[in-house]
Formats: sequence, C-alpha cells, structure tokens
Amino acid sequence: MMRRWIWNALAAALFACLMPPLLTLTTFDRLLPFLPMLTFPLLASHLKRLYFLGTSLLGLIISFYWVLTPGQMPWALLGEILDDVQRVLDGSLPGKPAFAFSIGLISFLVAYLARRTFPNRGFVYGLGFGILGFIAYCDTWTDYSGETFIFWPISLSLLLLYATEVNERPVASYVRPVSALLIIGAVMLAAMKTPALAADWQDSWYDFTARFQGEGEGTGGIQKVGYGNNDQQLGGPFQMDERVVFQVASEGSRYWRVETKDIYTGKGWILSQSDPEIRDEANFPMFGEDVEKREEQATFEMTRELPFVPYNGSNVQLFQGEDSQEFLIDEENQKISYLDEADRQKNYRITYDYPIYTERILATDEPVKLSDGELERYLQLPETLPERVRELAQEIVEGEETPYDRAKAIEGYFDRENFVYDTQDVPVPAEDQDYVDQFLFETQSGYCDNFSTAATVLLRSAGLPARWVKGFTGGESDVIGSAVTSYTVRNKNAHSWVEVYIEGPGWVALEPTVSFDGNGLYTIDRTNESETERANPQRDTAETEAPVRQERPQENPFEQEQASAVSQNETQLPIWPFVAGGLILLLGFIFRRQLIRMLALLYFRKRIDDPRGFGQMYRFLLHRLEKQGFRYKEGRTLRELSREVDQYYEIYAMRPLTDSYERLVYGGEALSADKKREYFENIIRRVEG
Amino acid sequence: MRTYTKEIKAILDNVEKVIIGKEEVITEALAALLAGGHVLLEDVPGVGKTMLVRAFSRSIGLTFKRVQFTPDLLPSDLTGVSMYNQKTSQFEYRPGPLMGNIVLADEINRTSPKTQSALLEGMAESNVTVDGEIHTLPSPFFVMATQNPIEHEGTYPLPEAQLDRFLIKVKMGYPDFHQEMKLLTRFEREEPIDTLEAVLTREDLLRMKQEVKEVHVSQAVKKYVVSLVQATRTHPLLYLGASPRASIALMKVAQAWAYMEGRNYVLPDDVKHLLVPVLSHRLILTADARYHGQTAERILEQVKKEVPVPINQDVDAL
Repeated sequence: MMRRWIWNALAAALFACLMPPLLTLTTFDRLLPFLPMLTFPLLASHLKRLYFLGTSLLGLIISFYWVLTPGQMPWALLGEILDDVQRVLDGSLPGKPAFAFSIGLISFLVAYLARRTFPNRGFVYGLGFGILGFIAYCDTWTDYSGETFIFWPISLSLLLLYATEVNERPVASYVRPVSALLIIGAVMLAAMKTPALAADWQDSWYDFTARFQGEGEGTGGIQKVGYGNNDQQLGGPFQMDERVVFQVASEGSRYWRVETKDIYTGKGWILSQSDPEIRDEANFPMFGEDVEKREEQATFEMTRELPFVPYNGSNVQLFQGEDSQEFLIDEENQKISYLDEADRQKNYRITYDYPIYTERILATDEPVKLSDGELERYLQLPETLPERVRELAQEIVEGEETPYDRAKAIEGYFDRENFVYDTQDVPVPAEDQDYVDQFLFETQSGYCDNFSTAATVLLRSAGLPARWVKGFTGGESDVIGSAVTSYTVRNKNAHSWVEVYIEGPGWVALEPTVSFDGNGLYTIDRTNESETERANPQRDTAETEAPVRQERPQENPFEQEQASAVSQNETQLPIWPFVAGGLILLLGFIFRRQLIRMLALLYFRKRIDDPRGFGQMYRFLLHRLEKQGFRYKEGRTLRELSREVDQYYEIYAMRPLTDSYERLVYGGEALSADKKREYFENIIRRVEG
Repeated sequence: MRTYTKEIKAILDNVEKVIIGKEEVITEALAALLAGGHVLLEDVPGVGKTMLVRAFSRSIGLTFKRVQFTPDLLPSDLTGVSMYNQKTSQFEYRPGPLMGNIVLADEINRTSPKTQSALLEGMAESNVTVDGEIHTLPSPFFVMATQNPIEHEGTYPLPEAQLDRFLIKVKMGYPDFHQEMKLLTRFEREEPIDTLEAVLTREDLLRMKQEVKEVHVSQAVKKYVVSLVQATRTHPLLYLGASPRASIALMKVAQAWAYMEGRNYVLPDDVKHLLVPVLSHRLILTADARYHGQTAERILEQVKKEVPVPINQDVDAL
C-alpha cells in the first residue's frame, strides 16, 4: 500500500513537471492553482472507482475555483468552455477556461491509464519521455529555458521507474537503488555544470548556416570569432568557433602574424595605404640590427586554402618542396598574400627569423628615428578621441624611464585594474561614442580587439609609435608520447595584439589582453642579465625584479625553453592513456550487460550440449539472475525461481531449462530437452538486456 | 496448476464431483495411499471427511468400512471375534470392520488407548490377532482416522509414538463462499456419491504402489530431506523434533507425489510441499512456544525458508 502511495506521489510529481513550461508560454502565471487538477487524479489512481472519480473531480473544481474565477463555481464556466470549444473548432486559439479544462482532462486520462496499467514500465517510459520531450521542445523552440529544471523530471522518471520495479517484483536488490542514486547524482552534477554548454549546443543550431558565410565578418548581431578583413566597426558579442584553421609544426608555440593596421577611426581600424609587390621573400623591417635572431621553420597544414600566409618574425620565405614561391608582399601592412587563387597552398613550409631580445637592447632610450610619414601613421589618433583617454595614458606611464618600461606599463594596465575577458557582454559603441573610451571607462570587459585597440591608442597617446596586429595565437599543442608534434590553430585562436616601436629593438610585440600569456611573441635572452647588472650597477634589485614579474610575454632562452617544454609535456603525457582507458572502462560499464551476454553466448554455444557444460550454464544463469534480485538461496527451489523469472520477463525459457537441469541433478538422467540453446539465448537476452 | 498422470487425474475428477475445492487434501491423501501409509484427518465434523473417504473407495473400487470410535468401543469390535458355531462345533472368525480396504476411523481420540492400540497394530503390521490367531488384513489397507481438535473433554489424545504411525496429517478446512454455494447446488437434487463409478481397479492401485517405489530419489534430494528433518531437531522452539521414521515417510510420500505428477524422480519441490503434512503431527513444541501461540505448521514454514535447497549435481558423488 505504502509502495503504491509512493508510486502515485512520484507519478503525480513527474506529471506536474508539465506545468512550468506551459506557464511561461501562456498568460497563466502561478503553478499552485493547477496542482490539485494535475495531481489529484494520479494520487487517487489506485482507489475504488467512485473515490477515484470523486477525487479527480474535486481536484478539477478546486483548481478551477482558484485559478480562473475566484468565487465562481466551475459549472458556471461550462457555457464559457463550450463557447471556447466552438471557437477552437472555428480555428481560433482556445481561451483560458477551455485550455485549463483540457489540462485537467489530460491529467485525468493519464491517471486512468496509470490505474489500468499499474505497475507497468511502459507507462513510466511513456510519461517520462513525454514530459522530457515536451520540455526539450519548449526549450528549443520557445522562450522557455529548461536547462536547470530538466533535472527534476529526469530524476523523478528514474525514481518512478524504480518504484515501478519495486511494485512489480518485491525482491530487495541494492543494485538498483544505488545505481539510481548514482545516476541522479551524475545528472545533478551535469545539470549544475552544463548550462553554458547546453546553450552552446542550442545556439549552434541557429548558427549552423552562419558558419559558412564569413570568417568573423559582419557587424550586426552575434559574430563568430575568426579571421576577417573588415575591422571598421568593432564590438559586439561573438561565439567561439572551434573549426580548425591549420595545423603547424614549429619550434615552439608561436603567434602567427597576418597583417597590421594603422588608422584608428574611433570605431575600428582601417589601413591608410597599401602597396603590394611581387617578391619571393618578405623581409619586413621588423627588428633593429643589434637584435639577435634565430632562423626557424614551420610546416603548415591548412584545412582550407587561405588567401594570406600567417608568419612570424622577419625574413620570411615560403617553400613548397624545395622551391620557394613568389607572393604579394605589402610592406605597409606587412601582409603576405598569394598572387592569385590558384597559387594558394594547403601544405607548405616557411622559414623566418625569430627575435631574441636582451634586457640591454630593450632598455634603450634612444630617440625614435622613423620617417615623418611613418610617425604620422603610427602616432595617429582621431580628433574625436576623448581627452580622458590621453590623460589616462599619461597617468599610466608616469615615472617610467625607458620607452620599453612605458610600453610594459600600458600593456599590464588592464591586468592590474582587473579588466575582465568576456566575449558575450560586449556592446557595440553608440553613434557618438568612442570604442576605446567605452571599453576603458564603461564596460572594462571585452575580448582581444578591445584590449589591443585600447593599448594601441594608449601607447600612441603616450607618444609611443604603435600599430594594431592581427593574426592567430599558438593554438593547442598536439602531443604524442612525450613530444609535441604540432599545434592546432582554430578559428577561436584568431587574435589581435599590439606592436610598439622602440629605437634599437625595433617593433616589439605586446600582449595586453588579460588571460593571454603572450608566449610565442618573442624571446628575451636572460643569459646576459648578469652583464646588464654589472653594466648598470646603480640599478637596484627592486627595479629589476619588478619588470620581470610584469613581463608576461616572455620566453625563456632556447635551452630553458626545451626544459619548460618537457615539464609541460610531463603534465600532458599521462592524460591520453587515462582518458582512453577511462573511456574504455566507461563504455565497458555502460555496455557490460551486452558484453556479458555476448561472452556467455559464445562460451556456452557448444558446451550446452554436454551435461557438465549445461550445468555450468545453468549455474551461471542463476548467478546472473541473482544480480537481478532473483535469489536462489535459502529454501527456494529452482522450480519456484524459474516460475518467477519467466513471469517477470514474460517469457517461457527458464522453466524448460530448469526442467532439464532438474532431470540432470535430481533425476540422474541424461539431457533431453532440445532447443536448450534457444531458451538460453532468450533468457540471457532478457536478463542482460 | 499442477499436472497429474491420467490415472490420478481420473481419480481427482471423480472425487471432486463430491468434494469441492479440496484438491490439496485429496492429492495428499492419495499420495499417502500410494506410499502405503495412513492419513490422520484433523477437523471439525461435517466438512466432508466421510464423503472424501467414501468417494475414494468408490473411485478405486475398494471396500469401505467405517468405525465410529466411542469410549466403550472394545478392540474386538474392531478386529472381529471368534464365535462358536454349534453346527460345526468350531470357533469361526467373524471379521470386524477393520477387514476392509479403506477404513474410516472416526474420532479416534474418543476411544480408550487399548482400542486405539489395536487399530494402530493393524495399521503397522497389516494384520490383526484374534484369540491368538493372526488374520491378515486385505491389501491395500488404508486407514483414514479423524480427530476433532475442538473437544478435549472425554478424549484420549493419541501419544506421540502412535501419531508417528500416520504418514501424513491433513486438514480439510471449510470451503470458501463460492465453493459452498456450488456444494449446495450439487446436493440440491441428488446424492452425487451414489452415482460415482470406479475409475481404477484394485489391481491398478497395487501396480501403481509398486511403481511408486521405483521413483528415483537423488542424493541431492535425500540431502534436502535429511537437512529439513535435522533442522527440526535443533530448532529452539521444538521440544521434540522429527524421527528418522519421519525422514523415511517424507521421502516415500515425496516419491508418491512425484509419481502422481508423472515424474520418475523426486524434486526438492515435492519434499518442500509435503513437509508440513508429513511432519506437523510428529513435532512437540516447547511450552514456551505454545504459550506464545506458535504452531508446528508455522515453525515448519520457517524451516522451509531457512534450509537451503541443494541445487548441485556434485552431491551425487557422495
């Protein structure tokens, strides 16, 4: 009796899960008035017919009295309901009374079904899937969001299923409640952890086609992060795009440059001039003569043919096989493009010079020796730039001695002031609003474009020539064994950063975006540091310590770099086998019954005809049945057990098998029953199904 | 639903024309008959004990005798007496009511122990001694004794040693509502017992009794029997457990039962089913257990649940 009450309560609760989505979709606003109507019939579903009908009607009356017409008896609404039905038949939408009444009718019918079929797992499956499907439907196609609520119907369905089992077969087995609790726990965890993930799945439906339209271009609505040419209007949220752009085998994680832009309009970036030439080597004047460079090479494997060549450093050459290739080199924006579409390569190798700065070179305070034209371009600021931006820039660099220190102060400003990295809550600036001003003083949260543009503007305001760089970050390392083989760069790795011109080292890259470490922009050689110390004995330690701590975009010298690569790999190495092993174990666990069934069928296929093998098979079956709660110990005979098993699984297989086994054990006879294999197959399919 | 051999089914159907809804009692009594034992019917008057026995005897074509046990009944009233025949000048033996195939000993606990022991001797030895002469009882010889559990005044309860001689004890019990309604309809116009015809001959029965002995009892089943019986001997609520005679009885009735179901081997199920009827009258509860309202039946049900059923063939190697 108690069991039935619990079952009823669970079923009623599960059925009531129908209501929250309905409430958000209709003009009804409260759940409580609907509850009597929804739950009473199910709660009373096991009572005698009269009580069942009475309770259901009572629920309906209470709900109606409460929800629709305070003070008005439901029969007064009868005419209204009928009118409503007439209207629905004429093709218009139902009004409140008819709608509420049909919900009541549905709940009554469900309760009636429960009453007729109890205990029946099919009913529970139907109800559970129905409710879940309805919520999923509402979540996907309407305003209703069921991400956290869905936990309830799922756990209620599981509990109800278990309650049905208990009612069907009153054999205590701890396997089921424990596994049910585990599943509920897992569902609960998943429900708590995955709302964001779920949103992504959902939205990816909508953006499925948008993916193919552009690579992060466009200004209205949600953008996809990716590489695009049009930067005239920055701002607005975007979605992470996981598609792979290329894979590259290089001598370390590197930032891959594509182009720079020089003119800031107050809303975005444009290029002042363009002058492409056909050449086979791109030797952009990036670094000063004193800067040490290391020749590196990188092998690219593009997913699609890009119109440009991502590169790093200076002195870039592109090879296909052993032949170097000609391409369009634009010195103004340092862009390397293909001559025409036919030239575009999927697999190629580039060589380039990678800079290794020393502290001494960076610490110069030489006056800038750029041409007037260049100075004008790289110090350009729009007329409309609010004064407070310039004031902020002065404030940040105050007290810093060298240009490099000033640049680093601006680069680190965002991190110090706890700016937030965010791709979603990023507005497009208003008509009369400056993009940088809005970011610096209002939102203080954004993604790479916000940080890099703001840093460039601040650098220029502080009198340092700077330009805005677009490209890709290093991507994820692909590890096999202990060696990094390559890096995978996806659309989401599209990035922007800053380069500042310092006389001596040349164009030095900065990474202002918070949460990016700038690893792979360049290397600072610290082996000369002691010399620097000796050369500048008056510099006290506190001063030298400070920049070290701030300098995030640094990389260790070559020897140390390898050591760090190894230590990085040490943490990555064991994950692979663990994940694979865990996955196999998980799969094995999920499909354990199928596995057991398969192995058992295989093992006993031949052996079943031999009395000994048949006995083994039968005892194995008993063992598996015991796992399902059919205990053969303590005074139960095989015949009693087999009857119960056949009844439970609604088959006729265990009894003939038991008959044969009895004959064997108690009758001292030879095996007789044919079709043993068939019976065994039947029952093992049900038991391990 | 159980399945029975054709012959058993015929008897059952026949008896059920008279007794409604008592398949359990009928089959158990039949098993006792086939196993060569006797039945103790414990029940109030009027539930159809006599009818059952008469239907039995008619169905198998056996002679039926009935003795009403009273306090003044003498042993010779049972066994018969030798009378002097003046014509032949010789003592002639005049058989008593015990000289029948099926004997209904009604209210056996009302008569004196002396008369009781005369009956029990006949049951055990299959013959009676009158005036020093041994007279063999007819075969088959099957006693159904009844005992009224309500009245205790003026009764001589059977001692345990004598109860042990009954193979099984069954209770008729009242029919349920519908069965009783059916009963009334059936008896409305006629006495169905008068129209019963024999479905078996005496020879058939003797052959069947012989075949029962051929039913195989595996080591596993023997082990089960012994485990059950031994469990009663160590049971804390029992003052006296079942005797080895009880073990034998249990096995034999189980053989008969298996035979009736058309099997030539005994299953633990047979033993389990027959445990209560075979053992319940052979146990003595402790005073404490009786005081707490325990009954032998309840204790035996408990034993059934506790003693594991051997399910392995390996015990055959014993």
